[in-house]
Amino acid sequence: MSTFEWLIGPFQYPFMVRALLAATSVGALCAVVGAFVILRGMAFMGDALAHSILPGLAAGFLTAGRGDRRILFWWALGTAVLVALGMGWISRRGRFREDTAIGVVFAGMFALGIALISSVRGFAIDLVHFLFGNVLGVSNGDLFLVGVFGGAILGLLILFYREFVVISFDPTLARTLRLPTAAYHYLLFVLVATTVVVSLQTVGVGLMLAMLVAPASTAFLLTRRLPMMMAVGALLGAVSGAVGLLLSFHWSIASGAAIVLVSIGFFLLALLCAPRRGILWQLVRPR
Amino acid sequence: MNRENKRGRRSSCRRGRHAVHIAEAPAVSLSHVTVLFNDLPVLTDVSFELETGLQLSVVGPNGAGKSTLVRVIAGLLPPSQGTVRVHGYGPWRHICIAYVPQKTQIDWRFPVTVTDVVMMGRLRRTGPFHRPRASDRAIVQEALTAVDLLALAGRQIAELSGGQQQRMFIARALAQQAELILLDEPFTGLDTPSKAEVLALIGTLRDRGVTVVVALHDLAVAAEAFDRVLLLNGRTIGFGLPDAVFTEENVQAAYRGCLHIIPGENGPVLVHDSACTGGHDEHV
Repeated sequence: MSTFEWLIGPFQYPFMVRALLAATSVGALCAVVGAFVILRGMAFMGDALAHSILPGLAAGFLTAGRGDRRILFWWALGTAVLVALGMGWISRRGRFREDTAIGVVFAGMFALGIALISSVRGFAIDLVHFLFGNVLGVSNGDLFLVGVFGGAILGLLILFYREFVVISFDPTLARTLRLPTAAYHYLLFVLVATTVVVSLQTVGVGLMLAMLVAPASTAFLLTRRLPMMMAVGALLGAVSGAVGLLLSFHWSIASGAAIVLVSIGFFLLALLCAPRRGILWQLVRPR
Repeated sequence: MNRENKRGRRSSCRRGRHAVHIAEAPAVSLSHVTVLFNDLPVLTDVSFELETGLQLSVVGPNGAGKSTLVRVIAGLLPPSQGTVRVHGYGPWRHICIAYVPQKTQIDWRFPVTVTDVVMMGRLRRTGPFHRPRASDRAIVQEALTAVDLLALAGRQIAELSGGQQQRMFIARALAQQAELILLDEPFTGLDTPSKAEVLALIGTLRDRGVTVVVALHDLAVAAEAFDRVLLLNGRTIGFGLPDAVFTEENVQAAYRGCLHIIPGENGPVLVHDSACTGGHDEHV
């Protein structure tokens, strides 16, 4: 089989074309949002957010049955926004440390989700799809939702870019400039939550964190300014999506896991070889 | 928009819903300000007035409430009792108060350049979508020139020395067109030449008519380089001209006998009894 066939062959199947569109756009979206996640130290929150969606999915699943998958998206979105607002509230004024409070919410919601799903007969396959994604099962309707919501998320990030940078870099400056910092704080949480829901079908709850964190931190190693970090991250996220999908097709491995492994591979490569911040560079030029 | 910019600095606080200045009001005025943390007083009954354009140093031992006072003036912390006025209005209504953070409050790995940070000061004044206009770029350029960082404008912020980092934040305050600049321990961790540079830069702010409040450890710097001194120890020990504030009696009261003034050949010398606190040296 020639390289060309290896690269192009799989896409004679329409489901692979849809999967490619979903994986690349989700990869790019997660990397852009992920830039704020890693710079603000919200990685644990992002992971918790993804897991906390499970009871919402389960509730949608129980009420709608297996027939209408579209309704699951809205259940997930509603749950995610509620959980994001709750976590935003905890992180602003908790009586516990933020990570403790988020940990309790995370574990409780995840267990509730599993309990709900396990009450349905034959839950195992659906649970696996929720946990690890099912990018090969993406429909045109799913792609439409990814496009609309992904576009809205990017639009809001561009619109409020400077505000988000200031509340992330120097919250005190944001307050002396009398910005409504709480509003931006919650908005950013909701954007992360929506990103998680949009990406759910591609990588699932369990591997969501990797998509938010890996391409963004690879780009962090390679760049020195935030807009460039987002652009490089988006490219890496999209390429990880495409390459992961191909590997999954040819080697018959789970698509979500393949995508994540490729993005982690890029990260390790950058960690080793990145100019200035890479390990090799610092060995050669100790400061 | 352009016309407003050309009216210059005096107009900078008068946009939108933000406070108009009362010309005859002092730049900073505190009246019976008390701040409680968990019902314990950090500041008790602090009152003073600082006229526009003067430079005030706030000194006192660790835990005297210096940082708290600076945050109250910035409008970051509402006082439990008493009133704070900046140019006649509550500080939370102003966007012309710049606060230079302590070094440890900043994540220096953040992927921004010196120019990016200084441009942040323009946030409330840039146009739709906050796209910097030519006038904003010119103001940032001017601010970078004023602090002598133009050559390093493209550097990532971790690549600056401690003194350069402080100068960058002062440039951001200038880009913000601040009329009151607050600095919290700006000399901590700086070597002597950098400290002198930053101090000289603060001195040049007098020409701009900017009012400056600096929380400090170093009593000698406070005495030499500032127009007014506020000596704190939870409450006001003394406020006024440095010579009037730094009396043996006041310094004793603030430092509880750990610091003494000894008349020397070139003026009084402060001697710190390091056995007293074991903390920071209030060196001469």
